[in-house]
Amino acid sequence: MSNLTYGQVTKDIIRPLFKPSLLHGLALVTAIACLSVGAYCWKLQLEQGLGVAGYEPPVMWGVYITTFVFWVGIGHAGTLISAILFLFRARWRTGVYRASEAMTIFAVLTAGLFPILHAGRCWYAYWLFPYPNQRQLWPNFKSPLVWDVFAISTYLTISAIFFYIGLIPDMAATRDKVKGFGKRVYGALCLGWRGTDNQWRHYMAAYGFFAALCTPLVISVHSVVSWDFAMSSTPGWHSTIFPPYFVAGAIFSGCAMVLTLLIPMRSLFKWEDYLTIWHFERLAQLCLLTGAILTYAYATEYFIAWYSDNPYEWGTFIYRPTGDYAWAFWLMVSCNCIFPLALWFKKVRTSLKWLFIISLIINVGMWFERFNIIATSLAHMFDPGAWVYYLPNRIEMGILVGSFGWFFMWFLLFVKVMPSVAIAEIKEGVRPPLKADEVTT
Amino acid sequence: MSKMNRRDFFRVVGVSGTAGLVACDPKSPAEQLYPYVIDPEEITPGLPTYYATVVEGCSVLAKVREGRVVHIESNPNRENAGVSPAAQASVQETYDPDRAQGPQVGGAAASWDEALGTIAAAVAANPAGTRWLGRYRTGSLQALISGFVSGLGGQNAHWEPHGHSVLANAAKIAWGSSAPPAFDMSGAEVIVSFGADFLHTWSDSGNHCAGWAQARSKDNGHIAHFTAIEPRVSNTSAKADTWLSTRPGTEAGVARALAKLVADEKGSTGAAKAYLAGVDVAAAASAAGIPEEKLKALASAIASKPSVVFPGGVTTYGSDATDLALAVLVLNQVAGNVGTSVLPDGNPLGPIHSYTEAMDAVGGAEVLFIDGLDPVFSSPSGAAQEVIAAAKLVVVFGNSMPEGMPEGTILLPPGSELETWGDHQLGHSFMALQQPAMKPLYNTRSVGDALLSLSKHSQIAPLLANGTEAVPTDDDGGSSTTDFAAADFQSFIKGRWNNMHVASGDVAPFSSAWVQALRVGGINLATTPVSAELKALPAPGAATLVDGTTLLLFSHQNLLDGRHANKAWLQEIPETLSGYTWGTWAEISPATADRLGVSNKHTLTIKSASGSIEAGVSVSKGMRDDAVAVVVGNGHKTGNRYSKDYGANPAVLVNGLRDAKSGEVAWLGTSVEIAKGAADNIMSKLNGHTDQDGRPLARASYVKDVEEAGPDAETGSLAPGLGIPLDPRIPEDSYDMYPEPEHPTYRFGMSIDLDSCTGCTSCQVACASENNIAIAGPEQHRKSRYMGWIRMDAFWEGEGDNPDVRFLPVMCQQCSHAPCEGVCPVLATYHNLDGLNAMIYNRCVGTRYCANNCPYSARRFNYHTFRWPESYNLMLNPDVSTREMGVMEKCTFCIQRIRYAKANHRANGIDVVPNDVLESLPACVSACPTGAMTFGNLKDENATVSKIASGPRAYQMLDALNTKPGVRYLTKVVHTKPVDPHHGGGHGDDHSSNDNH
Amino acid sequence: MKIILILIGLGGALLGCQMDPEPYTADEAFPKGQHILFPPAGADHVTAGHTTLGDPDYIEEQPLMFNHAIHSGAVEDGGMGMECTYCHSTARHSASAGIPSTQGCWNCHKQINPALSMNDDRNWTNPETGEVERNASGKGALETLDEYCGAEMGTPTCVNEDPIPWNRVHDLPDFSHFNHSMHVRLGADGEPRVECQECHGAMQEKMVAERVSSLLMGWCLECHQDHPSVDENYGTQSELRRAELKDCYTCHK
Repeated sequence: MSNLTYGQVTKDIIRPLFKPSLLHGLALVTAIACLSVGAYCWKLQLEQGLGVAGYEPPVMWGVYITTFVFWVGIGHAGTLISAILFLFRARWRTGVYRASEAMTIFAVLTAGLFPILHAGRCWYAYWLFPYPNQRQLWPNFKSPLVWDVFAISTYLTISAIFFYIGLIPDMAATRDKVKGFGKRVYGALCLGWRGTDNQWRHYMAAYGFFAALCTPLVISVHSVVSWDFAMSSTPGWHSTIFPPYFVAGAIFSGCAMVLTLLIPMRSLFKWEDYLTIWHFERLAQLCLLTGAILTYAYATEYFIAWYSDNPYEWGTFIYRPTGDYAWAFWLMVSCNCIFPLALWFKKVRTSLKWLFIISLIINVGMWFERFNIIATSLAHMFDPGAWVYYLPNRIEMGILVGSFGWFFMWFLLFVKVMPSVAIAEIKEGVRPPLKADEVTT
Repeated sequence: MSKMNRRDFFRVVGVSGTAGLVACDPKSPAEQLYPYVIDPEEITPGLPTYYATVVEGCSVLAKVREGRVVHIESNPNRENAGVSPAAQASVQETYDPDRAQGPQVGGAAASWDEALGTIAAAVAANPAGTRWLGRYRTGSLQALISGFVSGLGGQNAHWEPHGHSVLANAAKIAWGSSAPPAFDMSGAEVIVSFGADFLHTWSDSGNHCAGWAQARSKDNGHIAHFTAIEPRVSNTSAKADTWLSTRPGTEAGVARALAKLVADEKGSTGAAKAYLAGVDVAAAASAAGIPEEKLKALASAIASKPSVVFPGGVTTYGSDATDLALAVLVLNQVAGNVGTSVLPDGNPLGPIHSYTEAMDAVGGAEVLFIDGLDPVFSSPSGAAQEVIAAAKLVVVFGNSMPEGMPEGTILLPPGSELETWGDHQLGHSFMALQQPAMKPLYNTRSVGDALLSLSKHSQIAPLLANGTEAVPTDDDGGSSTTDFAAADFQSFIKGRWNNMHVASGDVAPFSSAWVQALRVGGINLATTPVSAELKALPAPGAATLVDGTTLLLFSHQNLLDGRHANKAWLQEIPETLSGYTWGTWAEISPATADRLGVSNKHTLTIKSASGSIEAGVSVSKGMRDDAVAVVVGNGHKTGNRYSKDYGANPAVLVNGLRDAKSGEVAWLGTSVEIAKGAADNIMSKLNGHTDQDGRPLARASYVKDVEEAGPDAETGSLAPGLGIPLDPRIPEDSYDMYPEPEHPTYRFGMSIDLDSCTGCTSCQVACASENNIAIAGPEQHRKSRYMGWIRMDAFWEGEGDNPDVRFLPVMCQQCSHAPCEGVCPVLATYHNLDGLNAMIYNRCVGTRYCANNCPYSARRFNYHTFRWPESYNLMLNPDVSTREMGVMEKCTFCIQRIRYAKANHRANGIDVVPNDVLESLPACVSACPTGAMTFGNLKDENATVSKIASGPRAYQMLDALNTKPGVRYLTKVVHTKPVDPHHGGGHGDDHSSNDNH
Repeated sequence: MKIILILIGLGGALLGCQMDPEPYTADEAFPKGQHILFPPAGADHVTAGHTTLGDPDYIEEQPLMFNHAIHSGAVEDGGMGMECTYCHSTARHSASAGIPSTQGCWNCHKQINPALSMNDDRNWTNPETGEVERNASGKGALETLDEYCGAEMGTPTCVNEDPIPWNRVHDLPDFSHFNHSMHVRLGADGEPRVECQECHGAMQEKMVAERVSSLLMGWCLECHQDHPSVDENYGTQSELRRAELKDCYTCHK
């Protein structure tokens, strides 16, 4: 980056805000199309009841909760990169953290829809919040679902604030480049940032503080989500390994999603200088690590199930690889444990094409991991008399597609109106302009 | 229904109360209150009234709310309580939205006068041409029918497709008796059946169930051993301790061989000796494919112990049906059962005719009356059609038009039994009185009333000689007579009862006897002990054996021969063994399934000389490789919304084969070709997986241990489960994270005896009726969305000739440490002071977490807002809310009944409801015909349920999870030592954990 | 504040209550209800059915302007001091209090000639407003009764088949099951455990039925928690009884 100047950086990074791009437009239209498919399916479901989905009792949770956990998981990598790596002063985060943080916000936004989507009478979902009412009724604080409500809403608020703080100096930079009405908007949003030393001092304090505040959330939120399962008696769910296992999985899938998002962005917006192979290799290494942890967790699960000598538990774990859902199980294993091993090779780690493909594979694998946990356990509970084979139907798939549409719509809008790479932090790595330069030029 | 609004209906708690959660319907203006114009006596708005009556041959109490029958209870005045599913479902016949609302002439609505006028004219044209084809009738109706038809010089025939003509014929030949014998197994130690589905569809199954419970109870001294000798494991033989699988058609030979062996041990004389002279045991055994020594062992058991042997049924009645029945009667005779466990003339059903007799009688009819039959549907290949078509005029007594009736047929709707008068002889000792429990909904007249008004018609009256019975003076002033002058059928019946009363020599005034009969549901008849001598017996004919695949037919557990096909509950509730609903299935053996490459997902094409059908596959360990069994009951081409176009009618497969001696249809003996069907099996199998995989859910105890166990045997000592995770090194109290819930007054609990449970589904129907359970229908069942609160698991534990099928009714177990409670985010489900898992529908948000966390999978979710056809709303129980979409529901131990009982006793100053009231409080318990279920307060150790729950056979399902359920199961008793789950399952430490409550 | 919370609750309840009344045809075998997401404009969602819960002083126009004051009002106020249970006769032993049958009214009123009583406006005057009340068709109570009964003056039994279509004022949602007898049955002191007026207000001073209580769950619970009759009648058991009374199953089945 040595040949870059402050001005150049700002110009490059906020270029997308001005220059319309056909590709981007098409992507946005597709996203909105997907979203409307999902919206239509939801309309049908609200009118006729959850029956329009493919639920097959006792499989009471299906694609919706699967997708909920999937999106919550995606969220985590963003916070990890922006907060934890910031505290560890991992320099490579600079280029990627803004985009991944945006990903976090929108992923949690998407995830938040699903508990409502899957509730039988979602118009009463507000009963899950503790508020004083004439019925003198309160939610059940023993229930992991109530913990979920708190965990998710906290996570959304904190990471949104953290995200916004990070944006302030960059919006100021944008303000100085745009004209007319835009100037007003960015001006308002950046809270009159002028970049004085005083402001910087307070700014860094606040940023550090929120980074610290976000850090525990990375662990806690997905742990709470995992308790939805671990806290219940269902074979295949009732296991203490779930929290760490879920967190690892979350970061694994999150990093994959960051790759999936950044690789196209880089080529689209010509950000080769800012998102270098070096960045991507770091991400790939993180995937490799978390993927290994995940594989270990799978193995542990099996060992414990066998060691517990509990026929119900063991029955479920035998059923997964051999029963009706074998296809889903092996899809998960190959996507999450086998293909990512390719990342051991530097050639793969440094080839954007391969990284992109592998990141997609991991995304698929992680979705199926959740599907495996949920569907197989419920389809094969304690009483064989109630065993079924559940498969999602069109409505559920429609809503799944809709959720991707929803996520990408926000993300694509974001990259169009906000600097998706942290200008200020990039500049830290750029040689400051000196009088000498002015003389030579 | 517009007529009904005009009726004096009090609809506050009525319709609006039942509209339930879904009825908060903002478009309707404020609800209206309709008081009576003149309030009737007996009816108090909000309180039920009960009427003792009889429906579907079952003496019951009809529960009435605001003038509508809402539920059928068992009649406490009869010693063997319990209600058959069909009897309970008669409510649905009453409110059937599609039933005929008045007479129809050629499909067009007509007035009674028109219809009767047309009939009268036709009859008058040629009185002697009058013919009657009806189901079995007893009591007054039978007298009236015979009087009417014979009065005109016509003929009446009474036939039922799966009826008793064969047995009746055999009894006539053997003993010269006029009615088939009754079977009483209560004292028996050895029970043998040659294919009679006696616990479900065969004859007086209600009494048989009660008898079964007694025969299998330890108080009886010994626990009876049941051997089923038939080619297929039916719902009844699923309870068998030994299943001797016979080659179809060889049963008669086996019966004779058995009789021979018994006779050799006990000696025989006269007719029996002569009959058995030439029997070759070895040949019979090898022909049937049964090892001879097994027959010998069984024979010596029969000879040495009190026993009862049941004859064949639809499955085993071939061209030598009467010979099978005869052989069985002889066997009973030589075993000395006649007069003790087999009662000649014990089962009077009125005149009984075989198919051939009936068709001959009906042939050449001028006017043909069809009463309560669907002859074309149930006759082999619809053969009855020509005979019926030959008649000039066909008159049908039925609530809807049967199949294949000619043009211009007249339909006279008799309404439901709950709306009309009648009397029926149940067994040889009870005359049941049928009184209307509600006003007729529509313009209908009972068969009796219709006949009486017909007989009064100007053109008919002169033809009829008036009633012959002497009519004693009616001492309560009311007019009652037994001749055709009777004002209506009620007074006709009253007249006959008056005669009976006088004949019985009872000095009490008839009026009081009549009132008493109305109160208790009938009168006991003086029974004379019958012993019968064998007459000379005809030589047995040859059996028809089939090479290749034999077709076996069997009556549907609840739809019987198809007569109940329009009752939604009976279609909706999974058939116990197969788990199928709303359709027709064919059972094949696993080997056959492999050979054809089919599974339960596929259909089977079954082709015979006379026709072919497609039916869903049900792979059953209880089938022979050389046979296929098809269920009868569905496949109606006409009929109402719940019967039309479900499944296929296997009667089309049966050819002209008849039983040589009785002339009855030989349902057995048809050769068929089976192949994989084109379509997929769209029926949903609702009992999941029929193997426990070594999980001790439905447990068994060895009969010897049970018989030896003393009164002070440790709780659950004979019901070993998996000891996990209750490790003996850990003190029991430290398993629980939360403190023990408080139960100050009650801890409601239930005990279910898996040994006496016959899987008859009565409890399921009762539950549906009491709790307004939605009728989800086939579409939903395809996604396993069965809404019933009781699931009947059927697990095959045995192999070969020891089927050991375990029926396991699973409802909410009302756990003390319920997994469902902790996870509900809004406390819609919680533990209440009475030890119940409360489920508050209107608080439920529908996260379904509770259902995921229920180890018993006992919770049901409303995936849609299920509603009922308009007229079904009158059937709903006003005390139970109906549920809207997105709400979880489950068994509540009939909380509405519990609270009703509490309120009543509180009002009388009794704070704790006594046990005898609680014992049969929930709908399922009071409906159970074997008394397998008991309800009560576990806090009170004197309560029956507590005593039962502390026995050695008692256990809690999935006790290892330490959920501490309120439901205790009693193990099934098996005659082959069961595999110990610890070693069998190969898991867990060896200590059970039933003592946690 | 409380009002707002109530409104929130009602809002949710309303949304939950928008069920299509006629979603299925008469010959459907397995009818299902449907939610209306976008209710047609003008559809009356607020005042209908039980969704009026929470607004006290809710009055319905009645087909017959029955004057409660005249019948059950104290004698000194010109009433006849009749017991509520004289007409609402099943309240003591059934869940439903019961509305008197037309015949029930006629038993007395067959002797009262409307023509005579017409002159006495007191019979039709609403004690609260002091105005003479007539029903929609401008008829007074007795004339209306004559119509509905259809019998000649002096003849004992009514002939008209149509019942009086009263409008329901106290309309609970169908998932809560209220039992009159449990409340008004006599307590230890020989008095009703709960006086009718405690929930229905001073009916004896009103003309037409009027709702004076919110009928909301909280309102029920308050009473179940601290109504004196629990102590009076259960003594040492009263704590347990209170706990039982807070069980949801008390009302919801």
